[in-house]
Amino acid sequence: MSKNRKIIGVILVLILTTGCQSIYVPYQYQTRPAEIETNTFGSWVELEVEMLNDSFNSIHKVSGELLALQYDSMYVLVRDFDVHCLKTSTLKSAKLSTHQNQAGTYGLMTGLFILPNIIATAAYGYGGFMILAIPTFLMGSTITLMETGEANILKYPRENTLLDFKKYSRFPQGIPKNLDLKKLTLKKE
Amino acid sequence: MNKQYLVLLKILLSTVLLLFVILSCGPTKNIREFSSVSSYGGLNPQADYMKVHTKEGSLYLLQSWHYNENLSLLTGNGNLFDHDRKIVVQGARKLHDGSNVFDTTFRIMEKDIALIETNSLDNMSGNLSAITIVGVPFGLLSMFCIIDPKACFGSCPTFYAYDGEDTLLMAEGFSSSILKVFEKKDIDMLYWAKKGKPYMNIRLTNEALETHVIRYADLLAFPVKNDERVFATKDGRFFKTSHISSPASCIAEEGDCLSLVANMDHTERFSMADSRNLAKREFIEFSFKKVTSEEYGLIIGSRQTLMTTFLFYQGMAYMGTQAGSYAARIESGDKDLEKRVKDVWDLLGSIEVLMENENGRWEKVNEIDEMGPIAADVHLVNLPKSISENINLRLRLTKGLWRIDYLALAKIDGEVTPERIKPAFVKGDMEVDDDVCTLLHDTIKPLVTFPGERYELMYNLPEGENFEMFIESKGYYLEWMRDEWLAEENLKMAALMFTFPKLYMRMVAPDFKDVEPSMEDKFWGSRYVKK
Repeated sequence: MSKNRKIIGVILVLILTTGCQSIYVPYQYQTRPAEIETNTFGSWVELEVEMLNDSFNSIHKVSGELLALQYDSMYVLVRDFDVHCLKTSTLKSAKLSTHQNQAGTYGLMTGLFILPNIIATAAYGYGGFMILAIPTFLMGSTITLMETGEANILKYPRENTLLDFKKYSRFPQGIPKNLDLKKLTLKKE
Repeated sequence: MNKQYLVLLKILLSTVLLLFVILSCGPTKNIREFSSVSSYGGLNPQADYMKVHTKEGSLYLLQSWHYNENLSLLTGNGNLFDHDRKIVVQGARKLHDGSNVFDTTFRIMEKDIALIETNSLDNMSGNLSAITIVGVPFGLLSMFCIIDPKACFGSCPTFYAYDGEDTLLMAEGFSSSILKVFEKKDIDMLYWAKKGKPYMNIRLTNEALETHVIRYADLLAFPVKNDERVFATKDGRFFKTSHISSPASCIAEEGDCLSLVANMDHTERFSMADSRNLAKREFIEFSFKKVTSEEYGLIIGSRQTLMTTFLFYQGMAYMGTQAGSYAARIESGDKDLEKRVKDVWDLLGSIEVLMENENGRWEKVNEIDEMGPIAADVHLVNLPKSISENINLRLRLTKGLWRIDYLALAKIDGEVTPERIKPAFVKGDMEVDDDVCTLLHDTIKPLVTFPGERYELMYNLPEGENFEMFIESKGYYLEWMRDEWLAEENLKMAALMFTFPKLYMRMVAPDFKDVEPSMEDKFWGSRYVKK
């Protein structure tokens, strides 16, 4: 493989591998930048809950839309008409996605801007054009790398408190009186 | 300030600038803010939407709002969602043109409101702007080269020298030596060069898609005093001069051009090529006043426009896959083809210097034919000794082919011989490269460089403060064929170029006129090395 192809390969791999997350979030709960202000639902959470079964502890994973945090309980809508009420004392860990990670957007944009350089390199068979791509690549990859630091993920207990989570619930004021939890459904696409 | 400190300062400033840009960016963050209804003014004032969470679980998504403190009433326009986030009242509709129409105004009592919420995304626009600001210019440069490959890259070995403050492009070597058979010696004046300490540093670069074969690159130095300057004539002789004066007048077809040619300052007089015939000539007429009967010479600082580059590249494109065959024929001794190539260049011609004699007739004195569009070179043309009080001169040159930076008259004080200095050592990639230095001293093996290569040639100047310096290089270069050019292969046009060059110049004129206005900008913008 020529040196030029290696450089192009590295750039493409970096672009394609950006946006990987440590939490699985259903598509409809990946809030895009344009929807940040208008989204009316709670954010998606992934929880590890400690359960006591027959005298031994086991860890259960629960994921769903965060409805509310109230007193010592967390309400999570795991599927339509199915709300789990979990004691916060049993929470081993929790992750919440505040919005769609933008690493892919930045990576794609960086890729588009250096595309002419890649085409010119391929067309002329000369790596000099890639020198022109270096500033864009440095800037784009730095921003993309900052984004892959998962600034869109809240992590309990390592980085955030449960109060931080509360802000991103459907009912930040707490579960309203007379609300029939069994009538709630998940966000549809 | 010392050159090294200047370089360090530039690196430091660039690093600080880059760090500033990077630090002002950051990961995108969804900033969600809450308040009570009475203090919602403290929320993000830039927000386009406001969410009103009611105590019974429904949600108002408002696009406009107003709070009446006296009535404890929030009024607003938007949509109302139930606890399952289904729309209950659609009070806002979007029209096709993007504008909003509000059908309902909500009136919400403060006692029913639990929380007010706004959202914003931090850093997103800053990050996108940073990538765009950096990415667009560099991407555009490459796009220019993809769209118009004949407007890109320099040609020939380029030489950079220290001018007392910075290292500048000052010369290009053997531009017309496009094959081994055309190999020749080239002397270029380093007009702005100042003596470096302890070594005179000349940077040699290959910034084009070419292979450069360099026999040698020697520094020619002359000690000078006060206002003395040394200039070279076309035939490689050197004359010490003094009392240099600018023209009293200078007229070309566009009118007065004196300010453009009065000083060697990169402000050049040039014209656009003729739209029907690239070989059409024009005149520049200028005069010097109050001249004594001593020996004088005309100083001309000039470089070519990109017309020759265009014609050369277009010729390569027309020859296409047969370019190697044409080159091999010339290298194998096909004198007829060699002459035809020279005829094409001769048709474009040189800068002819004409002087008005006592009878009012114009006589050709000499000519300058230094090729190359990158760096202006300065030459001396000896004028006849029997000159009167005023000297009226003309330059006859091809329209759109030459950029004249400087015209001056100098008193010739005598012919001088240079001190020839070979590189003491050579640096490549920050380390001393003995192999390159050896090749530049070798009389048989040449130095061969490829695109992107760059060497610092270090010369040891003799004692003394002020020197006039020239770089004498010898060699040739081989232009690389580009894929885009092969697509234009047209052997009939190639044959026409060599057989009927006058007709050819007329036929390609429209193509050149299409790219002529933007060619210079694209050319300088597309180089890999900026200085």
